Amino acid sequence: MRLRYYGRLWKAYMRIGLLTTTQYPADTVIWIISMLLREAAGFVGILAIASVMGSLGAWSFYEICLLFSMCAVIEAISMAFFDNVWSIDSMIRRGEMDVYLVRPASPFVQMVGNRMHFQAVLSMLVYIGIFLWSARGAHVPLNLHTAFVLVEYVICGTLINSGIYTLFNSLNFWIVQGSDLAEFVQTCREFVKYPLHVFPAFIQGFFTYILPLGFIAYYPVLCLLGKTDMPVEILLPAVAAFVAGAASIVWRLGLKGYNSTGT
Amino acid sequence: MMQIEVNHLVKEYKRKRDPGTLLKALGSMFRPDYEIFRAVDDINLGIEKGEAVGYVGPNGSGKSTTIKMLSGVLTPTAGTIKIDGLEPRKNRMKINKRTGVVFGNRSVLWWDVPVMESYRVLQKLYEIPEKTFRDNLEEFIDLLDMERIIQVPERQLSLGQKMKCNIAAAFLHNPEIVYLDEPTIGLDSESKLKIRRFIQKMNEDRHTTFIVTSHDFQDIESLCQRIILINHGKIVIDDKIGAVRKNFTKKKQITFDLADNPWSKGKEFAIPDVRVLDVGETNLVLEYDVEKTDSMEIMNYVSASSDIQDVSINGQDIESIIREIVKKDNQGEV
Repeated sequence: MRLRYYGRLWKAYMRIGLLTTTQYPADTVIWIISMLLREAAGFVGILAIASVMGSLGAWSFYEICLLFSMCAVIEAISMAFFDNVWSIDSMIRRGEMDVYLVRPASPFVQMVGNRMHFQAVLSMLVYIGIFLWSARGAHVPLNLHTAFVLVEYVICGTLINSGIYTLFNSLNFWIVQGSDLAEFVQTCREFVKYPLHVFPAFIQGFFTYILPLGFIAYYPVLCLLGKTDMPVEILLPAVAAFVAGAASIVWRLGLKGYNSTGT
Repeated sequence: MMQIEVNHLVKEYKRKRDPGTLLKALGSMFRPDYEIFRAVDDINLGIEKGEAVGYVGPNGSGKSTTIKMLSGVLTPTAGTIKIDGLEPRKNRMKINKRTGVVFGNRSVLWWDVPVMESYRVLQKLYEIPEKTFRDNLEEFIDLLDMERIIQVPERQLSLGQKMKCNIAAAFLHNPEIVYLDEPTIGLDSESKLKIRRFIQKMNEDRHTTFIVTSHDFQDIESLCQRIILINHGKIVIDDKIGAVRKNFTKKKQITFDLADNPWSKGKEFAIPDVRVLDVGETNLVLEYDVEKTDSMEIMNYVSASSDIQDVSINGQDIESIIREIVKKDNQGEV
């Protein structure tokens, strides 16, 4: 019952998001290009290193492309549907959270629904293209296991990625510069576009156990390529549940102690 | 049972004490020095279904804080709020479906899409049946004159049009209680009038309960039967507007039309406690203290020296009454 309610609500928000995108065609084009460039910039660097060294951490060119495209797909989904968590900061400052609190729906759903970026869906199509092309080149087997891991990966990867963003942006409820911290985390994310095993052990450990961004691309790629004995199929949902749970707790605590600005 | 019941409501904020010197400011980074600020201090209220209440007070008196606690945005530090017997903070979803809020300085509509599209989202949010939605929309469009603006994106609307759309938005789900926080702030008189008429109609036809905060006393006078004055977080007055006017009018103005005006030629006005506000060739405007003198005495005195052609007496308007009460209340505290 509640699920159907939120389903209908989500559809209404998507409609607003789509209409907004069509209102500013030039804006949309610029947005897509800048998003593609932003992701590609880091990638070109990796490719340059890989081509000089012949390979990177014994990974082939296609395998690196696979890692990059999967990383980018997740970021695009997060941008399309969960980008408004980056506005928590300004919403608190301007007292906009009040509006969500006087309505009969989850404030979190209202917040992320309030602004969607369908431009990101378009740029995602480009990454899916790169993914298909590099998956073929890297000889990812075409079987049920691959399909299962990919579906699981898209859901759990998005949860981990957006969960981490939500968690750090929710710190704005207590500290003024919470979004700086969240941006720092986003910068750290550059690391996981590389095969993690080229880094020293403590960096690998950091992105596995502390800030589990390794699970938004590296480990799933290992799994797809059959390069690991780790039960990634089980770890993915476990990590996703953990991150989403932590983010939900921090968000709820923040909202509970929320003191809106007086007007 | 009252629809809204508030008992011993308190809201305290922690705020950092001003450290004074830069050196102390650096020190306070490690050992912050907080002081407790009471925005709302032991408020008791009961509001009945269908009442329209004006909630007034100077800036920073605790008006918005009270409204935010009533609507479930803020958690009270102490005391209880019951809306139809339910606590807003604990039954947020349930109560929110029955209440509406208008933030005078904030829009709840989407900037880039036609107003109608925003209403469609609200329809889903509040689960408004299609028939109710259609009927309400039709009535509101008619009452607020919104026909031409409903298909326009909000960014292309004027402030008055935006406010109309936002007010209509708060009523789409047939709320039983509506909180209006400065509903006419910054609007021209035409829009103000339309909005007031709309609110009145909702109150009369649907018995919607209203709590209105406004600095515009015309809003309060035309919309509300009851006025609650809050100052420094405490309720100073809670009474019918008529009673407030009757009990607190201290000064009245009396205007004379005279055939010949000796006071314009330097004659002194001999009754003490009467202030001459304006004096001209044929007119005389006086202000007097109702406790010290009365209009008969003044009229007798004036008619003794001149021919009165016309006379009118005005009581104080509610705004200046409130202003004086606040002033007195502030002095009492010092």
